[in-house]
Amino acid sequence: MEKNSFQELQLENEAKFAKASTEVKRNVRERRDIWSLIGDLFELYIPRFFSALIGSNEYIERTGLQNDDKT
Amino acid sequence: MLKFLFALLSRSERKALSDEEVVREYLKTQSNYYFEILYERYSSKIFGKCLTILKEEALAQDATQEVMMKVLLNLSKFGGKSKFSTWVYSITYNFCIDFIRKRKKDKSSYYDDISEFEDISEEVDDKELLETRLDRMKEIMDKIPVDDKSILMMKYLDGMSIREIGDVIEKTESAIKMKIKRAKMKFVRIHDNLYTS
Repeated sequence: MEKNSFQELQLENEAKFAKASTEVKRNVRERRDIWSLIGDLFELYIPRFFSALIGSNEYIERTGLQNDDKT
Repeated sequence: MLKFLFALLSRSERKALSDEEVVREYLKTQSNYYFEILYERYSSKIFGKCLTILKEEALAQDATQEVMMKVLLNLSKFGGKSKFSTWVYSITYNFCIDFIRKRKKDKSSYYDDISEFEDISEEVDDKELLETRLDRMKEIMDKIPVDDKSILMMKYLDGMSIREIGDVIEKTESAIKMKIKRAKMKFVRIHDNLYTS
């Protein structure tokens, strides 16, 4: 199918990405992994933080987490 | 040989998956396999648009990285109301438009030439835009203001409907129609200034 001028320009630009693609991919992957790690840490420690703040096991029991400090 | 067959199978499986399926699987597994598919399908397309709008390769590379991050971190918010590609491109356009506005470098001399209140009853034929020579196209796109450039790309590159464009830039359908008309006129005006005098 024949390309219009906008599509031709886009294709020419896309071809310029070949060299940089690997580096950009690596950067995106690293940043994604860091975000994922931060997310995991929050998931793990925020309930503990709130349980300590509230001063009871209620939150831990509700979320099914063990409170290591009290065992 | 086995490795080759496996690669071939993997490639055909990748092609068979729709964007929505890949997103679903990625959200479920967070696996690199699905990340790679999304990256392969969209990174160069994002880069191509960023380069047209931002004009510099280094900026376009950084923008591609930022847009890919935004896409990945907001995947769970993709509700499937629009096509996945439209959602990705709307993030791309909005990112680039914001970037240019922040830098305030988009002071094209042509922009001020054309008043927003100018009579735009004259209709520009799509053919004039769609059959512009590539070398001219590049020059015109370098000179046209970012809002007009983006709106023309949404319509003539991505084939978005008026409603979809309205969703991307949060304007009513009648406002979009008017903006397209103005953008087309600016395109032709720049073309004529550069090549017919």
